[in-house]
Amino acid sequence: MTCEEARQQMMDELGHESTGALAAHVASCPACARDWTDLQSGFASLESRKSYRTPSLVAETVRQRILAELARRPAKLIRELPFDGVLSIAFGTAAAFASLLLLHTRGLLGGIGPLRLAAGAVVWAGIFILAFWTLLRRWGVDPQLGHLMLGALSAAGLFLVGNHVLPLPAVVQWCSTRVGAGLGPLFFAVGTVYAAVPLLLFATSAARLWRLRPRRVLVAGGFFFMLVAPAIFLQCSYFTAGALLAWLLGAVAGSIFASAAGYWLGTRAGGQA
Amino acid sequence: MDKVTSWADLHESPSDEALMDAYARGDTAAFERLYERWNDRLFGYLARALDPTTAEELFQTLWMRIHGARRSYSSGRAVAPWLFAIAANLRREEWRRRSRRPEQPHPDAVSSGTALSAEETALSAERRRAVRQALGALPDAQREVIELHRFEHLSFPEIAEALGEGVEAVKSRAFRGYKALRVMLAEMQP
Repeated sequence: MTCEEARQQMMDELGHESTGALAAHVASCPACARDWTDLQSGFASLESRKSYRTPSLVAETVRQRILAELARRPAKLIRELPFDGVLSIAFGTAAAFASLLLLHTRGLLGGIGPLRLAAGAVVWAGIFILAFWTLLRRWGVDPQLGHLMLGALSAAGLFLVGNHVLPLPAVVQWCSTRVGAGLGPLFFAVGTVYAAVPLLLFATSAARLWRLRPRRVLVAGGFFFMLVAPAIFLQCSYFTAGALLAWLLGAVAGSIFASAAGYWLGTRAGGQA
Repeated sequence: MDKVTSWADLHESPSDEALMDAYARGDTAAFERLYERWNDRLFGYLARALDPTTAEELFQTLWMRIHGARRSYSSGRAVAPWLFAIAANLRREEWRRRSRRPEQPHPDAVSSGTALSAEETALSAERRRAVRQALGALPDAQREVIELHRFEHLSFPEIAEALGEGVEAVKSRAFRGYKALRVMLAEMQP
């Protein structure tokens, strides 16, 4: 038996009498004999660790919560959605309506009837909220109403304010004539900023409040992005296919960057709390 | 309406693996028995490394994660490393979240939910403090292996599975950790 083999064997036999092979090696090797004594001493020194009991209130709360989850019938998705979820959908729909109305007043949705507009808003918000809700529940995270509303509000708010102060067609016009920027780089930059700003806010919040891991922050960021993407997509449709592609690539780059940066900021803030 | 007899009710002493299987299928009785067996151990694993308030918060998060991941449990897989893998990830996340190493919970300040073993009460407070201090001074990587080995009684293959590492690597970390403990405790003795 070599010394390395003896060390591996020591770990298996720690806390017990050494077997013949190990005992023979230890008897003939002073270094391993010293290691064996140190290991047994270190192992024995931890004998006195206390046993813990979960505080009864905490234990009961968790037990009841899981029992309630198990009691739910999973047959219909709507049954999974308590009052908070319904409110979230209502709020998300309202935010989507506001965005679509703004686009409508600017003539970007000319020719589309009110019923189609309403249906679009409902589908738009519904996909976002339901996707987010099921995603977070699957991860064992409680998709709290306040956070979902904050997400929807910040996305819709950013779009409404951004579109009012700096309408995309005007930005493109200005950059093309004053700066001489090509549509490709320009749309890439705009797409990056449009995606990065809300996602930075979202990822920071997700990492700090929901304690999501980096990969999940990125995935959740992608879901979040779904709320603003259709509105910008409609505006981009005024321009060329190349511009649209550049905008999408920029949005992907912005999403990845902002998710990573938001995670870093969120965990940093959480650590300082 | 008659209550449907659950699988767990029919068995005197089902294994953790059988309970986990049944729980993953939605059996509430199986969950209750599994929870009864494991909640103190998992709480202790968190409480040893974190302050009581954080341990209580993370305990809730931990069980919601276990609940959320129950369908991903592979039938027949050992439950202990599976549960500790989730707990170890959570604890590591908490460590990462803190810019500095967490303070060791003071045993006298731990909430009334804890109970001392007979052996512990027999030891002097000074000795306990020295052991706690030495354990807290170990690098996180060594400490988590030693805790799983010494306090949770996991074998090295189970620890390796829980931490997602090789058996030799975790043995090596435990070897260095136990030796370091011995040296630190010798230095602390008057």
